[in-house]
Amino acid sequence: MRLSWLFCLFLLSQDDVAARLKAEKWRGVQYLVEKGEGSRAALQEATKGGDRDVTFYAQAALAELDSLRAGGHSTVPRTTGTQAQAARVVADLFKSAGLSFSLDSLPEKSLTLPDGLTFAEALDAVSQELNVEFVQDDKGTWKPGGPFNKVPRFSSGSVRARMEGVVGGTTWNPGLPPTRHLWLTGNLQGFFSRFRAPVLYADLRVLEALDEHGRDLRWHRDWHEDSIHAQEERRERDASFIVALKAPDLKTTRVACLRLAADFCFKKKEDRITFDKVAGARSVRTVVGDVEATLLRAGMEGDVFRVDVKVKAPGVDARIPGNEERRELGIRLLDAEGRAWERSGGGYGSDGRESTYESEFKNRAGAGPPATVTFSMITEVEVRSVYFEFRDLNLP
Amino acid sequence: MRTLVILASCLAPQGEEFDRAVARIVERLSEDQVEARDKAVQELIALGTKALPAIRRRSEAVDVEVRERLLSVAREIERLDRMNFFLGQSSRISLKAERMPIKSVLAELAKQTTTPVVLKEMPDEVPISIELKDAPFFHALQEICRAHSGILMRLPGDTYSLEDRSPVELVRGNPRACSRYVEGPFVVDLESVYVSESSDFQGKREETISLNLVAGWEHGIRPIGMRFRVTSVVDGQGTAYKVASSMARDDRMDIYIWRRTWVTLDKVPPASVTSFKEIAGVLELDFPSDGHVARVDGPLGKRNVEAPGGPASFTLEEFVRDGPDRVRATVETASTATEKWLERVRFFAIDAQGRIYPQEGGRGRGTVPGKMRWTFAFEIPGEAEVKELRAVRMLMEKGRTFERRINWKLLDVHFR
Repeated sequence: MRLSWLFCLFLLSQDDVAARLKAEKWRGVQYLVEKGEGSRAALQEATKGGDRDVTFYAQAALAELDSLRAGGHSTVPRTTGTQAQAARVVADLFKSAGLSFSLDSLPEKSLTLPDGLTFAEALDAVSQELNVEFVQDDKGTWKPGGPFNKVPRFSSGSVRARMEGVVGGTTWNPGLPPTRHLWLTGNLQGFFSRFRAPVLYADLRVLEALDEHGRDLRWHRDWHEDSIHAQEERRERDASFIVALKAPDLKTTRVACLRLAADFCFKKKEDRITFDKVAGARSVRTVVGDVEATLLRAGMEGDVFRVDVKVKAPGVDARIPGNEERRELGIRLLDAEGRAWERSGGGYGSDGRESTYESEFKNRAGAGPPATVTFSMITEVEVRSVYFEFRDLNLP
Repeated sequence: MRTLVILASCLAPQGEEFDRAVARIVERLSEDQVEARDKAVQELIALGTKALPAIRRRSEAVDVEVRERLLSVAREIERLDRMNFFLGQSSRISLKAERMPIKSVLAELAKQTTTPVVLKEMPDEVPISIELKDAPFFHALQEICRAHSGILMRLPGDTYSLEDRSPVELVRGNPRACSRYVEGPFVVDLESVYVSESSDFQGKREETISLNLVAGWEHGIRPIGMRFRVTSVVDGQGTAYKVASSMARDDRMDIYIWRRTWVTLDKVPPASVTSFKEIAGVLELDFPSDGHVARVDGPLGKRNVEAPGGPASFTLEEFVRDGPDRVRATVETASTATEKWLERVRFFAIDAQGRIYPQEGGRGRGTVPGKMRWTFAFEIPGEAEVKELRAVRMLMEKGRTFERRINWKLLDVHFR
């Protein structure tokens, strides 16, 4: 007992974790995830080691451990070498992951599934062997859907992703050097079970993008990356995504390494944001949770009291009550006694990171002078990240 | 027509001789032949505003029919004069520089034009030697770039509204690789050639090619609509291309011109093609039939000031700073809530540096029949000194609007 404990300690030391991740990559990630919480401390240390590969794989493993700890999903057992009719093998695979499925049109043939594959690896293996792509219908049921796509793929543990297309755009500006931008589209399926809560919003981080010459292709943009779309209604952990890259010149013909993290964000806390002594106020800033709110201006304009408020936070629009078609911050203007002025009009503008609300109020109910502006929104979110990567993507 | 007015004004005789010349033309207004009368009318109009006193004097000494014709000529001269606000004038640049730094050359240029030019990136200090005489502004700027050899001009390519003062930018680049078409105060430029290639990672590939063209004009030209078409594209090897699709907007609801046109060609030239021998098309600019301007100088803090300007007249009731970057204005105009959107009075604040701030939004309410009180704001930085509040009202009388048609052609455009 004592010896095995010491052995465990040895196994999960930082150096060993780093060495394993460096050598085994995603196999190493899965090994450490299956080890469970015991590998957390060493993984955390490994993220600080300075090796870019090790840091990435350690972060990927930690993200999956976080998700397991939060109870979002449980690990799917690895395959035990089986040989049977295809329908039987695939059915067993989906059952082991707790997924609903319908296999009516599956080819009738014998199928061998090797030992020790993770769920995503196994699903890709049977897809290729049967020349069938498995897809989800509107109700989340997995079905055979079209022939297997020979596209760049990623599969590890319970995460599967595939590239669907790439557009390369070259702009020739007379008198200036040409510029080349790339847009890679793909699809991600993570954990293969349902989120317990609806996804509030999703964000995509491009952690690393290198061409065959080792040059950075990331497009450093200052606007919100809204190019990942999670299935909010279905609560499935799948998403389509677009990665925008910029080549330094026309010598780039390949994306040698593309490392991504998809952040699925969920509501954690809704809170009230309040500004006092609002009459004549200008540019008053407050921070609640991860929301930065600014009362831009408040004061009488003609016969109305105008209130302009700016709220800034990742995925800001999804944090505001309402649905995708109409969101309303519900700004209230109150007098010192808490009596409300009536909202008579307003406008709204947003760039996905920052939203500005202009509201006009009239005193129709005999309230006193305006004293307080208040509204509610989601001020804290919980993030579940899925890490994945692609190698050697040929560009058009 | 405008050119004719200016030319005729310059050549017109002076003083008594001028009055006698006007009298001779006025006599022809009584001719029996309609053509002869019309010719006389056109000649009087061509004399411009200088002829107005003589025309008015003569109108008191002629019969009713001729008086009506003379008064109608006077109204037309006044309208054309007002239209100068919209039609503007082409700058004529004369410059002589001997090994002068680019900044000094641009400072000289700025004295002869109101079109702003900015050095976006500080180029290498190459001394410029150049001599220009009566060159159109864009031609002059192009020649300055060529004389420097390390800078090129980029036209503001996005939206234009009535008082836009977006600058022409000078950036680092090779000006000799650029081809532009300049006609008077107008310019057409090929900003970029865009080649898009897509792949599904399974062997299926598609390619498209698009041309991104920009039109520009000097500050002071105030079009209200634009149509921008490409009619012919021929590559360096002589192959002609058709325009498969184009993306250009013609927004007539309000003055909001997108100065670009983006055309996709029907096929992609082979890799061996590195230039277009010719890209040609038509640019049509619309102007109103008449326009009126009213002004209040130094409006900040002023109350109840009348600003005369015909249909653009207004009363400034209040013009106050109500925030660090915001000025609120209340005005009363002669207008109704149902007037045409293009014909409403528009307000602009102009600061001491000539920067123009259009009104933001606006809430109107009828006061008395035919009068509206408007409250709106301007986003003006606190340090800016507001020099003028300007009201502009355009009239869009059918069949009398002005149009400028430019057949443009770009030659030897290199890409790849």
